[in-house]
Amino acid sequence: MVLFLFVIMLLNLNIKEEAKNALPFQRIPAVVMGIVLFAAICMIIKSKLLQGKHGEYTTAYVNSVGNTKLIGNLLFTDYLLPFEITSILLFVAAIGAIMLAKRKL
Amino acid sequence: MITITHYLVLSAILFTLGVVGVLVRRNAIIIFMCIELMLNAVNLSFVAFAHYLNSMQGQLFVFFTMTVAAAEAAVGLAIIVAVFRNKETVNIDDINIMKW
Repeated sequence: MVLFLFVIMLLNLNIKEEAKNALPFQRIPAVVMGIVLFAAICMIIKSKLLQGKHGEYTTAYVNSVGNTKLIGNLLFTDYLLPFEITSILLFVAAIGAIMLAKRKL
Repeated sequence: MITITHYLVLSAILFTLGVVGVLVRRNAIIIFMCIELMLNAVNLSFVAFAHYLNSMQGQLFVFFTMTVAAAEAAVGLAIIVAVFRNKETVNIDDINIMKW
């Protein structure tokens, strides 16, 4: 979110958006389809979604050990490979952002 | 009493707002924020299900989703800044050619 604020500040957006809308007819179908999508999601929620196998991390157990500790334990044992891939992903994204934002290479 | 259904309905509302925002607005930065809104709506339902099913996997997936969202935000905003430098606009109707 801080990044968004910086970019908005940097670009100084004070243009009138409605004046340059090239697709004004898109607005009403978009809202209608949004309502349809919301109804569809609500129907899915009302269906048999709430069945499933309950795990072992009950609220009492999580509160006794600590949420952060449990997440940390899982991150560094069972989910170590995704965690490392995440670090590589962030590294690549940072390099890509710098390369894109540079004026001259 | 707040049950999981309330969280799921809130998540659905946020997701729908994100979809409608992407379809309606023409400002690239606002479209980007709407994409973030959709990601966070899914995060909310992940956490709600994780709590409901007494599981930890949902919270771990939220962790990874937030990382991907951060990477996406960094790269996307860099692209927007580069486009703004070249074209002096972030209106996506003005950015409809792939080369010039």
